[in-house]
Amino acid sequence: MSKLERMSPLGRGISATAYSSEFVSLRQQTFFGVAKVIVRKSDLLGSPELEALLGVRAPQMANTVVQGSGVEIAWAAPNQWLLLGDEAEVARICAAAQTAFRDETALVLQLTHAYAVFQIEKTGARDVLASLCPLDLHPRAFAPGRCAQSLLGDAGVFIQQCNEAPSFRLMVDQTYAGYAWRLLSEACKSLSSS
Amino acid sequence: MLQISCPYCGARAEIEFRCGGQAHLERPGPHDQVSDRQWAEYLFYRDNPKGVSLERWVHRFGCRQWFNVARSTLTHEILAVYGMGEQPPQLEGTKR
Ligand SMILES: [Zn+2]
Repeated sequence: MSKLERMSPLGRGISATAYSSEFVSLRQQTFFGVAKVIVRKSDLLGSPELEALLGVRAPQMANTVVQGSGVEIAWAAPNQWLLLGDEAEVARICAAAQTAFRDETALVLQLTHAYAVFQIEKTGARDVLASLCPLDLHPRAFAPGRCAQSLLGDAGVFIQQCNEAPSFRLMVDQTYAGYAWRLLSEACKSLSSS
Repeated sequence: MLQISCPYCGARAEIEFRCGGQAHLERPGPHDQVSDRQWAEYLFYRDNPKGVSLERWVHRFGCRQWFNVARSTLTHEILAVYGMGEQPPQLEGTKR
């Protein structure tokens, strides 16, 4: 019997899968931590203890991301945020948040293993995404610091622009990892061959 | 495709949303004093207006929040978007 190995959602071991051409590069991001925080009162995430923990106040503006210490905090819905970053760091903050929220009505949920995470970069990235997603990704509407939940083909997706390069982070439910990878890699190939 | 303005996320494509049917239906009660006819009205009968239709929509693939939409069934024009629990704005052609 072979020994147990940690698998990526794409099922090819934990080595990252990648596609790269002159115009666009696509890779799976492994060991990426995700957690969801839901609170009853929106000012809860502004509490001094938690602000000290996150290093920043959670974004109040819809569909924006702020950089905290160690993790990024993304708006997901009214009174709901995603914590994104290094897996161990997200786990550490989740544990600390549960202590900070002890007397409050709040939900802190680790979703690290629920998502498959991809990074798509270079000048063609926007065109590839536009062919699969109904969002307006023009720089005047979507820029670094912005995030959105939308559709990638038929699957729900979280999209975040990480920098001007541009570089985008995509997260889909891990059960859609293979589907999303096929859509994205085929779109990358057809962009590169056209 | 319609463009629908989520009260939280702004204008998004219709495929991110799902329609939850007629808005402002109220469950009759107390339950032991409700006639069969009232139950049937509540459960099965819906308005089918030619003109302004008041509907519940959910931003299914976005922020997952529910809200109300006033939409013209003639032109598909979205005349108003307003929150759950709010009364619809006064619109020409609204049956009420
Ligand atoms: Zn929304």
